[in-house]
Amino acid sequence: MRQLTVYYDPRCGLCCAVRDWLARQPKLVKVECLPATDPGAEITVISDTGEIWEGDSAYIVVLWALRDYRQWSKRLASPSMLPMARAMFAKLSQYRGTLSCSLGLEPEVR
Amino acid sequence: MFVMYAYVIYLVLSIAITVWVARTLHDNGRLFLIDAFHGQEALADSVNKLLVVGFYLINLGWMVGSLRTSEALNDPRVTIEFLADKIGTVLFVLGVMHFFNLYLFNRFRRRALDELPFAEPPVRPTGTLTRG
Repeated sequence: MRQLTVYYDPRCGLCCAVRDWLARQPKLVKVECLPATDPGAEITVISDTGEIWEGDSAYIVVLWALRDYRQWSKRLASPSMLPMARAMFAKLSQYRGTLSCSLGLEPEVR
Repeated sequence: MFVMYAYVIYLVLSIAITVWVARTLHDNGRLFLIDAFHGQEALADSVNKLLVVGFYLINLGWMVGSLRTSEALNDPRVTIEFLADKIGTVLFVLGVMHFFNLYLFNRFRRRALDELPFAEPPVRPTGTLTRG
């Protein structure tokens, strides 16, 4: 695997902020961020080898691609942490609109 | 009357064993560390040396600190038992420290393996693209 393509929600300010943060991180696998064509869809990651990760798994795979967070992704994916990590990322996705508003993050598409 | 002999034998043997274990660790740990630091030999050598210094300090500290005895070593049997008891403890502490160092080496190395490009993500894909 050489590249991951991340489809994010362009109507979500938090997602756009995370995309900018991702661009600044040192990576072990190339990461390309594209706005999802279906706004409101949950985050999806597709690798150049054809694997798809959706929802909470997608967050962990994106962390895995980052040099400084690979150990964290492995920790979060360990059997004892995974249910909690999934629940946390699911909540993050669910309330991303509310969070964007309260943090004052502007989306790129209204 | 055997006290001086016992102390000297204890110190000489313990220090000799510590030096031997530390050298073994130093010589054989090097390859692990070079692998763990992606072939950066200078960095590996430096970390190796720091680990060995820590190893020496803990072990020599332990053995000097536990030199004292309240027993009157006035017959050979008690003296030999004193030596066996003290040296046995030193060997045990060395063993624990040695395995702890091996654990550290292995952890460094596993971390390095995780960063290789062909490593696999920790979560299963939720699907695959169908190519037609």
